[in-house]
Amino acid sequence: MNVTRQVGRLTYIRLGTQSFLSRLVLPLFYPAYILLLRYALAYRIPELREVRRGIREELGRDKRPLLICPNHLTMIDSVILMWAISPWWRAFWDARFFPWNTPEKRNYTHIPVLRFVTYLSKCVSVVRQAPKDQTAKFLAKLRTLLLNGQSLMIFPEGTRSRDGRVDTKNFAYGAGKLVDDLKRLGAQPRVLCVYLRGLRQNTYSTIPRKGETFYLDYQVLEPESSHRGLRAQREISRQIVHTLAEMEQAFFTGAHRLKRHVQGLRLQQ
Amino acid sequence: MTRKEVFDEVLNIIGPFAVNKEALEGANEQTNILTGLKVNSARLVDIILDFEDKFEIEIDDDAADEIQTLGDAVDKILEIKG
Repeated sequence: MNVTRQVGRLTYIRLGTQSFLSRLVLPLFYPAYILLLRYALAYRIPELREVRRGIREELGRDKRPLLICPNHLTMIDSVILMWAISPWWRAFWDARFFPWNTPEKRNYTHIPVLRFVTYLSKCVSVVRQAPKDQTAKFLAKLRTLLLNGQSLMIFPEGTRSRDGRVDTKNFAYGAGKLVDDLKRLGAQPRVLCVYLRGLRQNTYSTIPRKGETFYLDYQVLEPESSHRGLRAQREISRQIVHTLAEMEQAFFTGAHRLKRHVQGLRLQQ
Repeated sequence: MTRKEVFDEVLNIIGPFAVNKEALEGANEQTNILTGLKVNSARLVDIILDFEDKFEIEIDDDAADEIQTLGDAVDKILEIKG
């Protein structure tokens, strides 16, 4: 089997078809998301252009596998982040800026319209605590996507932060496993850690409050581990989660590069 | 090490990760680690690594996947230790 194809031919074709169709409807879907976020919910991301340019420059033209690992506070984080990292036309031309997502199957597949929308928004459903062979097939799909120039958004904590802070103790090791698997296949994956937080967001919720202003920080990592197997997965996951925790710490202590800007926003509110 | 000693040590390692403390008290070799003791699946990796450290063995991914019950863990540890 070709290294970049970790799944059977049929699954490979299905993923390719989903990717193609998602890209095709992006010029319709993306503006709809923006209308919802910017106008219906009145969300704001200050310095949006600078954020997008910074991320673009950090990533460069390098087409290595890219995992986007954000903190997780609300159910619509991935939609807000999609808006934050790229305009629609860049997401259309460069697959790295239109990441795949892995929502929990039980949360949406019983609602046909959500199934339709998520399919066309590059979602591959995950079943938590699924049987071993099912999990293996799911991970093979993700590896295939990443090895073929696509990016993947995965929340390294595994769930929304229950106390509103990045959980540096009880996080999942899925992101670390993917990075380790890709390294074993000879790839050199990168991780874009993104810290997103509404200024009035105290703990986790379904969606951020209406009229919320978001703070966003990011850092590109190339996680390394001197171990292998489970120990490597744990160490890599730890590096990712601790990077997010450091960005969070910078947010709360005001030691980040947008300090003055965020203080200004707080005063306005 | 006897089977009983390994079992006791396995329980000691899993104890802090078990959410269902009642099931932990009455645990036997048939007790399922995830569904019986309600251990978070992500913590299973920590448990396997603790087994490696405690018993000075190496458990590969496939072997780790086979561990479902406390008895499976004891079997695997004894098998690897030889």
